[in-house]
Amino acid sequence: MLNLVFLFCMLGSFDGELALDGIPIQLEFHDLNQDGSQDIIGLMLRNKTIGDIDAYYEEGGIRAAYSETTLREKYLVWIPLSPTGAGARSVLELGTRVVNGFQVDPNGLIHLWTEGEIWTLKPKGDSFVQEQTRALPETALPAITSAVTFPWQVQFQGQTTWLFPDFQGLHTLTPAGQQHFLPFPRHIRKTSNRDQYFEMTIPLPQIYQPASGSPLLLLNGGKDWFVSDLNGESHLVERDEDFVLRDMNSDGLLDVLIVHEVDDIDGPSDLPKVKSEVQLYTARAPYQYEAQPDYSGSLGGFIIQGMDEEMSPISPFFDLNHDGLTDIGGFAFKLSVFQMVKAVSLGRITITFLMHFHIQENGKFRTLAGGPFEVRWKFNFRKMKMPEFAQITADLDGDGWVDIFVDKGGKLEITPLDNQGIRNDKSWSYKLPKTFRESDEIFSVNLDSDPADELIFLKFDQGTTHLGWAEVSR
Amino acid sequence: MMLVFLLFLNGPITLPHPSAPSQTYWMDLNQDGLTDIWTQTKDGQVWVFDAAESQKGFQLCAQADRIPRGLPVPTDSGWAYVSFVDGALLKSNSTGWDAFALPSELHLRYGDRAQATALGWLIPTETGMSLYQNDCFQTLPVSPSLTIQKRALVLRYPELEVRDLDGDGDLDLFAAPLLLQESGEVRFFMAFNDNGSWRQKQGRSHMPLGYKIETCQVGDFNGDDQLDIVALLMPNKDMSVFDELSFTYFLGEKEGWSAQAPQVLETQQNLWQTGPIVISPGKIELFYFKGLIHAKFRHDTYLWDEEYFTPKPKEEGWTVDDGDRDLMIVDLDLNHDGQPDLLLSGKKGLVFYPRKTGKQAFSEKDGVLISERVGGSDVFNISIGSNGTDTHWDSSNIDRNQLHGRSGIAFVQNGEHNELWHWVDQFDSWQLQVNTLRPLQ
Repeated sequence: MLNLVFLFCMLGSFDGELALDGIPIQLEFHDLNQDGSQDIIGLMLRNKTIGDIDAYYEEGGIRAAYSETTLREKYLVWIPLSPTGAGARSVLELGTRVVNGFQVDPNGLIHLWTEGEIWTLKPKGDSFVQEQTRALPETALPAITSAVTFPWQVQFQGQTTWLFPDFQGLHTLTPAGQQHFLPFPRHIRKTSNRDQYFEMTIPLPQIYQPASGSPLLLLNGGKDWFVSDLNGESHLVERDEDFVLRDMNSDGLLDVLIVHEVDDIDGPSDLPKVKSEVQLYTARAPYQYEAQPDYSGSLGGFIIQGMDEEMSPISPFFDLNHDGLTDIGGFAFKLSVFQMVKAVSLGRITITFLMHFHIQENGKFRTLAGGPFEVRWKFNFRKMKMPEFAQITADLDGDGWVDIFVDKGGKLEITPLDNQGIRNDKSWSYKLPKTFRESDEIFSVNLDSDPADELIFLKFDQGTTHLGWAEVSR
Repeated sequence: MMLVFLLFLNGPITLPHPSAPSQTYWMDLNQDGLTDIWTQTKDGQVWVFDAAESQKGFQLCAQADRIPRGLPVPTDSGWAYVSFVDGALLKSNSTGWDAFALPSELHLRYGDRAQATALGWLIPTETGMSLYQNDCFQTLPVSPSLTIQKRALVLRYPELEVRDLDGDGDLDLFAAPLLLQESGEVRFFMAFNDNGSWRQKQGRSHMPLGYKIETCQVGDFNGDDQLDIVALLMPNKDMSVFDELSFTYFLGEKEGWSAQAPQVLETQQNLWQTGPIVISPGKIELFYFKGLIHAKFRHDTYLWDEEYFTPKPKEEGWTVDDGDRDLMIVDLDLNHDGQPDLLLSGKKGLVFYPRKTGKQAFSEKDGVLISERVGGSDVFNISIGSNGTDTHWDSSNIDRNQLHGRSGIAFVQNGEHNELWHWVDQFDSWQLQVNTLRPLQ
């Protein structure tokens, strides 16, 4: 009987852990073998030390002279996951080759962007087979050495199309080998003269896929947004102040959101009072807006849509209840003088920030009751980054609403959200597996077909990545 | 013998305008063999001091606010200011600006500015640098480094400077090594000028695992006539700003630098109190201040022992009363003994420490140069250009460029004399004072 209960637990919970040689430069979850469970696909970097040793006789014994060289090698790995655990791995050794990243298309093929080529790969046995190799368009940009997060592959007119950034725009490449160049407005670029170098920042477009029609590329220049489709047909949306261009209500049209922060704060005690004035202009037809906002209101917290600065703020846009409508998060930080001193002297700091949840209903925003919610987040000198939404929320109980999880050293405290608000009364905790008590990263992915999300834990330890996954339902 | 310095004031050169000069350059602008001076004020006025017509003082050349940095050029009627902007060359005239279109195939680098050098104009292009000399454009591919952020590409183009790298008398091009913290690399670029044809050398070296580069310096410490790189490192982990840094080096090879770092040595410098690194045959010297309240001067010498550095440095140091931690000049030979001396600024003023041979490199007994504080945060920049054709300058003057952006004073070795140049605010004007520093017998 006890065995049966144990077996039931095993089947009911989707969890496990494994170790990977090296550190991931790109790690994603896709159902490559179409068995209903997401698999792990990783582009890994590991160190390999090669030594030369020369042993010789001297003064009555043996002495050796040696030298060593450390190489950084890449490999691609696919590990199928299922409710019974991780399956056999497929590995493709890539050596010291420049690999910018991979993407997985809906047909389960992996496209690897490497020196001058795209390799289309499929796992087979313990390795991969190369289905196709395509030459890239000639770009004036030099080799890229780190993994790319830019969406360089989109579906356009029923086929996979690749996008490659250059100084002045994007090159596109179709599977048939057709090439096209999409120029961007010059004012989008930012430049600065530093002490020993000149720096140019070329923003990458956001890709927006409307419910129907072809994907759009969006570039934000502050008071204007440049919108272009992949045929090169472009549109400039301008206003006399900074704004956000985004489809807030999933009708396929880009809406305009204007945010003014109200920051007359005297001290930390005033932080819960921080507000933003929000105006939403809903598009009636493409880029057609009424003179008066469709929604105007005051929402708790700062609503900052951060560009790519060193200290990047958390994105304020997400969907709390999976209804397709964009909900808004407002944030406020508590940062005391003592914490600033601590940050400077220790190089790391845990900050507490307040999170307000504003849910979209019938074209208006309603603030969830029970808030604001306090989240603690670790910063360090190297990574001045606020969490992504998936790093603090997941639908862990499978009720269609995201829940908030907070790492409290050894355990996660989970507070569910529902239509009534932030349910502090229904919170529960999850004890982290031993390996992941001090995780480097925790985030949510839905690994299986049930509605509840799983959590992924990563621990980087001396050239090895420990990866764990677990269903963390109540 | 202890040297004592006295100050002799040459005639002051006055800028007849109350706004502060922000950059000052010394160069032979009209190729007459004399070093001229030009300066740009904070509100954009460009003034030229023609050394051949010193009685005229500073002459107004152009009103050039919002014009990229350019260079005064002599014209039939006086001086004009020439600057390259996006796609065009601008030349000032008595009423405004004349514009001339540049060849479109140059693909000028958006937002960057052209640099006037002794070789000609260096004009930044998207893929490198174009050298404009004798009405001819010659393009050198100086690749930018590229890093990818979440929603942006960041390109970093090295800035080139003109130096005679191989000692053949021709001016070559050199880029200070570019530190790429994201990929843990040092990138470098050099181009050697062989009678007008260019041979390039570029490549990259990797940082030791677990470290992040803080700053670096080039020089030859092993005496093989190749420039080596010395880099200060910080651990690539959570660290306190009070933690101490390490350093490593890359040996110069014929076509670049060693790809791997052979040794990592500990230093006692903090992240926020680093100072100059001096590289000379047989040793590396680290100069820095320590201490939160008191400015404790430190000078650590690491000796090169044929194949590696001895990990324990020779240390010396003393406390500088009310020391200005931004001012530490370590490369000037003020007493003409062939060795660079040390200048620090503190409560006593600007203090000179001659380099000695023996156990201690510097004497703690000091000679006061100027009994008032110079430097500090409230000063403007003086940079000294060098000119290959100008016999008044010896090659050591080129390194005075490191004063640029850091200090309001410039030391000039003018023939036999050591001169101290600094701007002085006279309320209704600015005076460029020249103080000759002479040893008293």
